[in-house]
Amino acid sequence: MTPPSQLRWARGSLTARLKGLKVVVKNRKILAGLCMILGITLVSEIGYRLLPYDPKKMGDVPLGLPPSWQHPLGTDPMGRDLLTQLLFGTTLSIRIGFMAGIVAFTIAVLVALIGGYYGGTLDSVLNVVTEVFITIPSLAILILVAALVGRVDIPMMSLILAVFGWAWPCKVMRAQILSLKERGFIRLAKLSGYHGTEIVIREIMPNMLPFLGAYFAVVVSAAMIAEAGLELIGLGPQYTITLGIMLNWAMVHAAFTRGLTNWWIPPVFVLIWIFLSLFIISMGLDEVGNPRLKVKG
Amino acid sequence: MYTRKYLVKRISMYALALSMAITINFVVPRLIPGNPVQTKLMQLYRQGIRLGGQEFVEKYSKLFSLDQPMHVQFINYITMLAQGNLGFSISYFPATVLNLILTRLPWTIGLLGVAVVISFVGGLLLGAFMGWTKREGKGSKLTSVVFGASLFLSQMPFYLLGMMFVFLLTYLLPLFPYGGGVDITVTPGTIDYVISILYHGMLPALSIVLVSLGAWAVEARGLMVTVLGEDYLFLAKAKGLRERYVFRQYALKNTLLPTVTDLALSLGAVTSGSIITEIVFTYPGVGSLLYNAVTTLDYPLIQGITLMLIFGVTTSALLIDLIYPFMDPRVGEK
Amino acid sequence: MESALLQAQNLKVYYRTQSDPVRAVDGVSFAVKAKEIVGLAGESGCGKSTLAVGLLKLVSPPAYIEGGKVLYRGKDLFTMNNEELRKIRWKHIALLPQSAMNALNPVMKVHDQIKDAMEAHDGKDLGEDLGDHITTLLKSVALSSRVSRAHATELSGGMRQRAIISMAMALKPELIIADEPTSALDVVVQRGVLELLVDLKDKSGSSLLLVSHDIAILSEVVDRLAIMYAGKMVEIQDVYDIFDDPLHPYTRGLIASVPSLEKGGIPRSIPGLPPDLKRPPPGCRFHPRCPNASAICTKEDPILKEIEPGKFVACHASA
Repeated sequence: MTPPSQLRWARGSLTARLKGLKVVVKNRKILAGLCMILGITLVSEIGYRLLPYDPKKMGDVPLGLPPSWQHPLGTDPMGRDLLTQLLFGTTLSIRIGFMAGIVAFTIAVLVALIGGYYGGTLDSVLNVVTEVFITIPSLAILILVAALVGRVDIPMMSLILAVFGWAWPCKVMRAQILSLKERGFIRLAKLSGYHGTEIVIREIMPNMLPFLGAYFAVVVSAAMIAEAGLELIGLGPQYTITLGIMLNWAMVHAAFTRGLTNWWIPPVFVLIWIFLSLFIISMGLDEVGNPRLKVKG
Repeated sequence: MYTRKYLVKRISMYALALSMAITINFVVPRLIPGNPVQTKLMQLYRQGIRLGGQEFVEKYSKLFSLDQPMHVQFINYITMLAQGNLGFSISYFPATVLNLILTRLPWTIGLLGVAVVISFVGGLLLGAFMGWTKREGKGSKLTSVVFGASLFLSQMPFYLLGMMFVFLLTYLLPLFPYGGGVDITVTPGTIDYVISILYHGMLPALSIVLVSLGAWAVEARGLMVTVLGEDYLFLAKAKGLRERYVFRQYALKNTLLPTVTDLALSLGAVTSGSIITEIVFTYPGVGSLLYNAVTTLDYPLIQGITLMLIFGVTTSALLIDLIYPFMDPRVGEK
Repeated sequence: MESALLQAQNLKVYYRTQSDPVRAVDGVSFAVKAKEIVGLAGESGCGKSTLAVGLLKLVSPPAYIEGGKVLYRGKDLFTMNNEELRKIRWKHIALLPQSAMNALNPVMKVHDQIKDAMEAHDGKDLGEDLGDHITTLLKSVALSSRVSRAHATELSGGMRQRAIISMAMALKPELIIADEPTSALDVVVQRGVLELLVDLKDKSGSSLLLVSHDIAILSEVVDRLAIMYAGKMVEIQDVYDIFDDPLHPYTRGLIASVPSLEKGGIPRSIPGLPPDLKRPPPGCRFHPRCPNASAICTKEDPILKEIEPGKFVACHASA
């Protein structure tokens, strides 16, 4: 293709993509979900800095107080204000979840694209590897690695979570790429002389864009849930506070059975809020991707 | 009987999973500098636990053949595994890892087994039925509500539901017992014992079942809706076949069969989730054992349980994959 | 009509959309008599497949029956309850759907799929020689007995098509509606299937309603030809008459577009495109493309009239 027509063509697909983006943004569910996520991120990031207490310093405040005006959620048995902990912990949990999500998502997309597009034995091998990662109970290996490594810090935590989080979305994405391949336009692009990477970027990606967003949301929420699960059993980053670690403290001190709801209900609530918002986003993106489902009757 | 491709794929997956597990189990502890036994003993010493002196270290090092070159260690390790020797637990010494696991295993298998079966069968039927009611285009309000609930539940982690159950049904409304698998005051072997087991297992099981059931229901409904649009369903109607028959032989069969492979894939995730659930409920299964091992950094126990879990899950998955071609004439047969 | 086996009266089948409904079949009337072959022709999108499906009330959402009647031996199929209608389907009127490629249940053997049609209508006790009976059926459509135990995935497209025909023949229906029975097949197989259908009709005395966009093929086997355009029936005549003297301008256009060995020359296509069925043009739907259109054609929709016995046309010019 001569350069001028190439430009024209690229511009064409750009406007198409922008139009697609507009649909995505206009969808109510996606907006709602995004607002929820942004809202909680902002509230927590700003909130904990506004409060005078240090979430990590033990003995900062009197121990074990019930909720009061000074300490809306009370304090924990180590002398830390629970509300500050909650807000600070939320920011960390979200950060870890997003970091893990981005790494896992990138791996998933790369593996799905390489395998799905090139096919052949490479694809078969990648597929087997993907399914192995799905089948193995991730928690078992996560616990093993976390326990053996000992001191887990935040980047390490994200990495550990990402190692298993990529497999399932990868499988779903690969299936979608395969179905896209069935439709004629990929062959057409090949016959027109486009190379592999060009086809991937120009033809496959735009078609997958709305779904990619949903998959990312799912990956992040899965990462956060896994993170909270690991932390709940005591395998989280040390010497800091996240939502899961708060739940761990609650469990260790038998907060559930002692009715100390101020310890564990707030983190649970935040966790539900977060995964709900990501879930709503993925539902909205699903609507955008499958407009047929919206027609009633 | 099977196509070669199918068999090769399944067996290689199995082999890959197991070798990964074994390798990680073997390699990671040896990446940590220092003699792990000595480090562990120092740790315990600081906590006030005296397990023994230099001879203990030597004996244990011999057991792990830590003084030998790597490949020899590896061969010893594999041999030990093949013999079912998983070593001694540090925190429960002198109990062997294998014994500890075996005492706890029935509880976990009972919980998981029952939960998986109920949620799989129940969820699929529920989902298939929900999808079937859409065949005339509209669904009832009730099915929409049930579907929404299933969708919501399917996204929850088991432990979250578990925590809420603990709070609501053992503290707020003390309808259920908390902790343990059975009331220890009841004599084993009696009906009361069995009832007590069920009573104690109810909440953990429910935490797992509600979520899994929701997930299966959502999947089955989606599959059923796809099947409803297929040409063979149309022909079935044109053939004047009775509706119930069409639901069973044409719709249900085609909907449920593909889910079996997904069952094999889900085992890992369900097992992971149930471990955390056991911990939340202090249910006496392998999960709680693992938790104890983690808190005391009982490496042999941690490794042993991890290996067991992976072995159990991948073997079950393999079995399912091997049985599947017999059920579905489209796959694997030659 | 006295001897009519199946009669459609003012049948309307629409498709629901987010805006106006698509009027795919908009007031179609015609009849099929006993022991005759009727061809239903028209271009893609004219509504003939929707009509075929609608005759037995087999439409599924977003399609729906907006109005009209379909009489089978005088009884209105649309006022029957589901059970009565079920009994008529396949046993008395068999619809062979458009694509046979995916019409067989992938998880059942062919044998069982023939059997269940028989069981659903003739009762459970079919006797011990059921296997032989099915083998004979398969042989009559040129399929070996191996097919009986096979699954759909093991058969080719042509084989699946013929397996479905054998399923229809199992109950010896009085009318077989074949929707595009040859479209998905290659030319050689096409001929075979067509000949098979006609042969079966002769042997069992049933009627055939063949729906196809290919009037060349239809004209070789049918007794009468019905032409549809944009959801309306525009002409029905005996096949020889229709080629000798096509009454509707669209029919003339269609015939002229088929290459002919005798007349030679280049076939001419009809200029323009079929209309949008959500908002069809006022008056006659063909008038934007009709060479003979006059003022009345833009205002009044012509009704299908029998201008001579056996000759129906919907055109202001032939009134």
